[in-house]
Amino acid sequence: MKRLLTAAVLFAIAGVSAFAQGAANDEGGRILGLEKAWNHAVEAKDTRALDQLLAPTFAAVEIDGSVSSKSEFLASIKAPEYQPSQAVSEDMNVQVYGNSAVVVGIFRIKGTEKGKTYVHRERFIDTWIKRDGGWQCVASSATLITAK
Amino acid sequence: MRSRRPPHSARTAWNHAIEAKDSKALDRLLASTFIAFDIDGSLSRKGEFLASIKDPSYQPAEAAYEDIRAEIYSDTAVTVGVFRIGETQKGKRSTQRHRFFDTWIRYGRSWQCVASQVIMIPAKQVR
Repeated sequence: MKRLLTAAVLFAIAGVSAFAQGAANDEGGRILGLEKAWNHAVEAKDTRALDQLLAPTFAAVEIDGSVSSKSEFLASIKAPEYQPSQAVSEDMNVQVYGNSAVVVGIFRIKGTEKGKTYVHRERFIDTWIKRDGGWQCVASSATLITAK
Repeated sequence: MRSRRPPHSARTAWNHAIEAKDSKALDRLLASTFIAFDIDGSLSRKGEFLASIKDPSYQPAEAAYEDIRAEIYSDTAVTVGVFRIGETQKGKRSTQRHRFFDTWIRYGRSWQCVASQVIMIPAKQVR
């Protein structure tokens, strides 16, 4: 009887665990979708879409180590001299921790800035927080990849 | 970002652990899922990160914060700051200023870092 009860408890725990894992996978999928939406918004210089994706407290650490607030980040996207032609994320991995999630990956961006063409590959870490049923990015940092 | 205390003390403990090459203390501060991006964009997971600190060729001489700010979102915190490290590697002494960006998760009463990124600050940059 005890063994049966133990088996039933283990089965129930496994079920709950599988459910939790599935829920985390769903949330991870949602967040990866938001990452793609972010890239499309950058390509289109769509600051309204970005405004929805980024929390009011958003902070970005740029590849030169400077820090910008949400408004500064949006202003840099809007700037006429910033002309991205392609923004793609590769090798993204999302880890969900309850109501927060961390996405790591490689961001590849092509474009022109101040008349100069550039192609950057950057390692990024984005931290997302779930509030009122929706996810918003609260922090993002990027390092230029120089390692071979 | 507003300043708050808890992740600060965890980051200070991290700082001391690096100075002392205390990988056991670091082990407690880093989550099993910890991932780090170094200044050249290279990626290391917890085991690799701890091994790099333990490596005899890594000799940190000085590690200090110039600035640290934290934003806490319930059981998640993001810390951003500047970290100055003086080190001797292969007999060469150098001092560098790095911007760090950490994400912390609260497990019970303690914080563990799940992700960390370090970006080299060019010498002339003031901000």
